[in-house]
Amino acid sequence: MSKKSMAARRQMREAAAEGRLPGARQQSRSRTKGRNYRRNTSGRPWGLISGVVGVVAVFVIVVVLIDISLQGALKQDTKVLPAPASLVTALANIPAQTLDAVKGGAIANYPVNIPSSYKPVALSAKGLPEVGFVGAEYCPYCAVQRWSLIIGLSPFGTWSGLHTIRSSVYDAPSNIPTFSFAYGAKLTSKYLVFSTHELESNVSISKTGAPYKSLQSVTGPLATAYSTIDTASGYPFLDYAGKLAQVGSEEGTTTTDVAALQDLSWNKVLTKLRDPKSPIAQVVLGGANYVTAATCTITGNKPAAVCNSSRITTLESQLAASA
Amino acid sequence: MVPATAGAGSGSELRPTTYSSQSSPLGAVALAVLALIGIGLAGYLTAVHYAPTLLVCSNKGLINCEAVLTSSYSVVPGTSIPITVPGLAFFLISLALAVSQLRRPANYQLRQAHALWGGLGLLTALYLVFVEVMEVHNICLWCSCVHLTLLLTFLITLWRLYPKPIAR
Repeated sequence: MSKKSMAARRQMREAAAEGRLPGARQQSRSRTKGRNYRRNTSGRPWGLISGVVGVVAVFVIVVVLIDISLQGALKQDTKVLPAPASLVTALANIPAQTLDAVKGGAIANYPVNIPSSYKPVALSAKGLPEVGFVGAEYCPYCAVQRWSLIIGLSPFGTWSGLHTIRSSVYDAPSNIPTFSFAYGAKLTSKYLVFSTHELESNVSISKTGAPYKSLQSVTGPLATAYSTIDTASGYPFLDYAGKLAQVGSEEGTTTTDVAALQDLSWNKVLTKLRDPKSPIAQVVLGGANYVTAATCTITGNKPAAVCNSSRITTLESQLAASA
Repeated sequence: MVPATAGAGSGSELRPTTYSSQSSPLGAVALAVLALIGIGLAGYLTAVHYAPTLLVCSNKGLINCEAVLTSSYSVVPGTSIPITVPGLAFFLISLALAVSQLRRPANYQLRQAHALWGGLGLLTALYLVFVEVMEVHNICLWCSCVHLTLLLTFLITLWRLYPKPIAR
């Protein structure tokens, strides 16, 4: 094609674009509007919707496949159920003669006076002495301690909001029936305030044991006491108004009595508690007696009906001499 | 609608068209219906939390509503408030957004807000599915109905975002 014809074609195209060709219709009005005009070619978002459905489907399939591959022989019971009223009532009404028969039981690690070197801070709330508990749902020794706390503090008030859980299946002793203080549990008392802090749940992140999912936190004077007195930050930890503290399992280094609770039902544990010689009664009721005695020391021996009983006054003397 | 007119010359001339910013009311009605279904399901599951005997579901095998509804994940972390209560609040807000869109069909911002809200609901549903499968290892059919409702809500809100209105 010659240069002349190419130039002519170009001129014709320009003329057509500007509407200068003979017989050309007028440009649409909107074309002259220039910036006010915008072409919209968006249709329905079929692609986007298909994409979302696809992503959701893939997510669900992947999660199911991963779970199947991770399934092992151990399966943690993660149920959290309101503790039956009959169970709580039974724990609050353990016969006095049974508690008298057990006395200190199998407890080797009872609350001791907090040395002045720790500069303990008096724990109190609402003008009442405070008993602070720091534990974790997975922890088997905390699992047993809670039975002792519920029984031992029952003379001082009324329990509500207790929930049943099981300790970790990956720990030893494992799968202990217990309670959690994390779901609105409360002791209504005119003698003391009971504050609880379940720092970790019983849900293993690795599905093989530690670490466990965080649950609650501890702050204030109790947190200071916990970090100062329990330097290993272990569980359980109890602080009785800044006067007495218990670090670790109430049974001490012997764990055979705690192991006796493995895989039992709550009602089975209750049945075992009726026999003061059973290993379970020795650790749970022995611990409960120490809890009562320690609490009596901070409430000024109120209520008198329980604090003046011979088993409690004996244990109080032991606590007073402790270091 | 600006009538399309053909310019002379090459076929590459733009054909101006506009879309109305109003969307069909059927979409808003569907969102309202889904919200009502969600309110019903969340309300039922909240009632089941306080009165477990109301639960009508399998409690054995893989499909075990009781295991899921009584797990530690069935409550707002650190509280005893059932997680279905925030769910109920979600669907109430979704209903309010749907009704607002019926009253103001030209309001594109409402559609955008509902899409964002729906997206948040879908993310929550995906998390709860993850927890059901990976942590509790059981499926709750009633919970799955809620998750499906959340997914459909989000998809419809996405649908209603298009076509986008023309800037004038």
